[in-house]
Amino acid sequence: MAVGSVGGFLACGHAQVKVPAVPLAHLWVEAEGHRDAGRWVEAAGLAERVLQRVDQGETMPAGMVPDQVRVLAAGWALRAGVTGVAEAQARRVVESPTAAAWRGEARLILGVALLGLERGGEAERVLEPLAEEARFRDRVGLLRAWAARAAGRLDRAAALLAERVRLAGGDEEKGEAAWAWAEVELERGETEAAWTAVRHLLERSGAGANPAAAGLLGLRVMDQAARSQGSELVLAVGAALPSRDRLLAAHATAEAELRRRRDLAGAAEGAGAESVARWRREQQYARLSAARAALEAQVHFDADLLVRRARAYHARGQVWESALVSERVLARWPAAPQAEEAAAWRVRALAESRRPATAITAAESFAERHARSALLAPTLGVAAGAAAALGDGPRQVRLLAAALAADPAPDLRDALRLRQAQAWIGVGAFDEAWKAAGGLRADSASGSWREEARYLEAMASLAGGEARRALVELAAYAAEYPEGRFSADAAYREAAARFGLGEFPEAERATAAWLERYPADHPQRGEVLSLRGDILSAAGQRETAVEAYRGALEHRLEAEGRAHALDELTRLEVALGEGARAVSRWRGLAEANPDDPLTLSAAYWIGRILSQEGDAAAAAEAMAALVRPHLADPAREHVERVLAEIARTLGRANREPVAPAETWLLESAQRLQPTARARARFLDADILARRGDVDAAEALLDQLEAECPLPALPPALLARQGDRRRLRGDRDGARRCYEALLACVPASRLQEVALVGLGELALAKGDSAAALAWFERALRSGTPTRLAEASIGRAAAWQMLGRRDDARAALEEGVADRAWRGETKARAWVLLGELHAESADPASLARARACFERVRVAHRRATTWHLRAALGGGQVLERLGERTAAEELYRESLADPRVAALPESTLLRTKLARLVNPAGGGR
Amino acid sequence: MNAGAEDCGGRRRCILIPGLLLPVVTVALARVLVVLLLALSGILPARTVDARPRSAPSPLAEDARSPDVPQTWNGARIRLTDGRVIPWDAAVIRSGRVVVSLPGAAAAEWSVPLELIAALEGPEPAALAEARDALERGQALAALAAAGDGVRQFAAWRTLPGAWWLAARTMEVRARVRLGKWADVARDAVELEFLPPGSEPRQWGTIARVRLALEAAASGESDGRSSVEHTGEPEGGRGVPGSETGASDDDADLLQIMAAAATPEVEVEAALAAGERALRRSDWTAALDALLRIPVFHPERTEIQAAVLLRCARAYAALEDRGREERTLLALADGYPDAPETAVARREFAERFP
Repeated sequence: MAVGSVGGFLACGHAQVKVPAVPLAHLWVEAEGHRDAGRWVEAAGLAERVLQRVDQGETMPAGMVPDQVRVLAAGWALRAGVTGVAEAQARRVVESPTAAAWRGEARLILGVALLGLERGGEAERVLEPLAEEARFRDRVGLLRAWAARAAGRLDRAAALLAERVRLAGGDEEKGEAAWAWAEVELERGETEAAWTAVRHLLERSGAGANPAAAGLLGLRVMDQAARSQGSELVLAVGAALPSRDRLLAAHATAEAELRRRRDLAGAAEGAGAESVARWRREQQYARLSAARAALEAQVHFDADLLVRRARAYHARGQVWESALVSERVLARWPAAPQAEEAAAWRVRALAESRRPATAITAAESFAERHARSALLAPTLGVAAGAAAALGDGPRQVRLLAAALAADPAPDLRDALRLRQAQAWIGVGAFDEAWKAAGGLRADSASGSWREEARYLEAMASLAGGEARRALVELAAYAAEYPEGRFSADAAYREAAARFGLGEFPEAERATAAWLERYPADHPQRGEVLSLRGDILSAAGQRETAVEAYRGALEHRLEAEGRAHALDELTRLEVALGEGARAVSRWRGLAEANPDDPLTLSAAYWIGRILSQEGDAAAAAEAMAALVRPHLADPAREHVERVLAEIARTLGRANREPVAPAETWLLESAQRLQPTARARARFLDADILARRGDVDAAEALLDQLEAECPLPALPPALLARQGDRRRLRGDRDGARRCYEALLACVPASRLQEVALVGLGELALAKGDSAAALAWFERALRSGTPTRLAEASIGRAAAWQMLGRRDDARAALEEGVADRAWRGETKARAWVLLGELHAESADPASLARARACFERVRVAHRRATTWHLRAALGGGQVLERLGERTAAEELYRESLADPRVAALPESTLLRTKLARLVNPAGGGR
Repeated sequence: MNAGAEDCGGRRRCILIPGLLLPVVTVALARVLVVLLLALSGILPARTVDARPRSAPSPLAEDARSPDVPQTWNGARIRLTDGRVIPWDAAVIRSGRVVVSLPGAAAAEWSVPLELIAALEGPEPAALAEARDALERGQALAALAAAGDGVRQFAAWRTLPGAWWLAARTMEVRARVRLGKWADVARDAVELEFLPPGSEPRQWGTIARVRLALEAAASGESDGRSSVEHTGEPEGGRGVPGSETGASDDDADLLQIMAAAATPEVEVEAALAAGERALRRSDWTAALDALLRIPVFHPERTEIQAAVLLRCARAYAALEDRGREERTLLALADGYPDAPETAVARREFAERFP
């Protein structure tokens, strides 16, 4: 009887149809035929039929044992997926007292069937005895583990699986065990063990491998590790996992091998254990295929992996590495969903690795690409911090405004509002700061920052000169927060406010009350004492002021506060005739901390006090003593500042001739040291220059490079030499000096001088691209010594590159910046004028004229730019047809002897001559 | 010969001559017939214009198959534009044509102009496979020799699709890189200028040029010149490394290579070269940006990690990032205790962090 379906199977097994007496042997042969053809349902059904007839009393055919038949039937039912029947048949054999020979096989099948029926605990009990039997031990190992897992006994499952990985003989079983082990350990939360299992899986090859599963499990391990173990494991996993392409390629090989083994095995069937083995292989193949499909569906697996690594690097403080990894995501998968997070991490990493300019650019790019991102507000907040690090207050304010406009979460919103108020104070917009702080105090969504806002409101008032209002607000703060975090500072500020209002007695009482209230080791005690000194000094109580300042110096003070206290104390001591004491104190300070910026103040005061006593030589010697031990060390940059003070002291007119510094500044051993000799030579040149003998000074410095190799020169002298040579047109010499300055390690704060200088050299050479690179590097350097020069240089490079809009915007910002002064500002006006003059329309020409006029009126001392402004202004007037005005302008400019002395003034003369005598032209 | 038309002048001569001439005429006629047949079938000059663009001067007029060039290429064939195929082993290039020997006939052969060749079809030649294996085993000299065979085998065919010439040249370049023959690599790149900049040989060429410049600069320093005076013009003369411009064309090229390297080995070498250049021009930020790619993206290159970490520590020191300098020196000492750089790192650590 042929059957073709489960229904058919049921019909075979249970129908009440009266079956003709087909001999059992024939039925069995038919069943085996179905088995050979892979028709498991039919085979199992016929086997069931045979067994039913045997149960009904028929005799089993010769050579066939009922228990064996039962085991086979159970195995075939298992293959057919009829797990209940498989269980029933197998159980009968297991429980049969006479089935010893087949009990093991039956147990195996029963265990698998119970697993299929999700009765893990029972499966475990059934399979346990097989672990003692040598012929089943290996085969049942993995099954026991699965049973333990199904029963919820994860610890046991993990132990069994780890054992299988170690002891299993075949690749396939090792691979299966490793995969299951990884999953179980993840469930247990044992991340390290899970990674060990995944590594085993990755190391497998051939039929035992499951690379796709290993990759996906690896990501899960990384996530779990990030939550619990820390970043080190995340990074270890991230470095070890191959790319998606490599995983899929390896996976294809593994699938092919398993398929090949499956096909080789064929349909030939033995006893029940072989059924189990085949069943397992089919399950394994299905799992392999599913893993491949899952990895194929994760199109952005690689980007996912890298973003996890970026997070982990950042968590470990490896922000440079985090930035690199994020950049890779953005470069290779710019459209992936992970790109947004990567871009945000990149901004943070750049800011924290002290690349604020690049961080800001990255944040602005983020804002363009992900305008609706939930990460936009925090990212812009980070960029605002970067702007603060650059000292770019206006930009910080703009970025904070943009961050607030990006609808941040309430907590972040309040934090940003507070920072915005602080930023307003930083740019001097005290009124805005006061309003911002007041607004935050009134309507803080999270309530987290009210106290800070209240306090900041008062500070904004104080900084904005609204002392009365500040006093009211400070009183309100003290009333609302009597033991607040800022109470001590508020009391101090109250005293400062009263001092600012000229209420000296009240201010003095406030400082006394503060000193009474707060302990001796309070960190602000020094500051309060210093303020007290200011108050008493202003009130004419010099002696008590001196006591207060001395007391302040015994406590902790910020650098600026210490400098102020020292300066004021010194002034009072000199007034009280205690100059020697002041000199002694300064000397002690400089000797104890030669690298302290106060050494310069020490030199100044010592020089001034001793000079006032009429002894310039003693003043010079006292200052020289401060720096003499360090003259041979090019890394001690404070030496140059003190030497400058010595030059100032000795350089005043009508002083007696000074011996060469080598003879009195250097110790005998130092006369052989190039750095020390160079410093002495520079001092001589400075003294000569201050006394008006510029030519002699220049001659000395010209000799210097021949005697002292550049690496021996300290940074300040390299910077000076570089600038000096550049201004004299010695480009190669200047370049060598600047490069030596850049090569100083640690990097000197003066390296910006070199960067700007090299940029100017490139501009002079006409290499605008190189110039732009140098100036941008200067602006990124984060030490704005020459911020204005670098900015204007960059604008000039942009102009040469044809980026006129960028140049114009930068120059307009610069001329509006009060920090730009003198030559720099004059140059900015001239360049801006020249940009406007490129256009023919009258409005632009009028703007150009105004720019040039500005220089001629306000920057006459910047002679080079004065001349250039005259040239530009005259040309504009000529183009506007105002020949008479142009002629007047040229004459007026040439009347300035400084302009007339410049070689380029011949251009002015030529133009003037042409205007006066159009026919003859200029000669 | 004009037996049919000429007046013989004598009957005997007229009878004899036709008899003698008959076999000659038959052979000649047969030849004419063959020629006609071949012309009709299109093998003889068909005046087909090959419209394929040529990116470099065609060498296909050269004769190939010199005795020292490997001849066999199993399973390969030459496909013509009309779809016909010729077994590789049956064809040679001679005097600007592909000449095919007819099987069996001792002197019979036919030829087609080179313009009729559409492509070469065949698996990776043995020479290339051998070169690849040798490289994987670390036998760069053997790889160079095998790759050279491949280059010679396909030199005459190199502009044709399917010719393995470029693959062989690339393998040659890789072998030269392994042997440190940077001058040869730079020269190769000049010869292969027609390749796109992102191709592996061109990328190696850029790296080789930079390497040579760095070596020239280093040797200049060891001659006693100031470290800031070197301007080492590299071979190829493409931009002075760093001293005048701060960031030269080579730096931009190296950045591009690092972003889109043809192979991981290219990326590593580009990062090392870019890092070295940045250190020489005191651009500490750029140096870290280049060098850190190696531990981050190529941790398997254990033999160079110690040297890279030491340079990174120095860059951190120059940037006054003492925290990261310290961590880097410690990581170096812990991770690579036997590396020569570790002794230096320990000394610097003791000096900087007493």
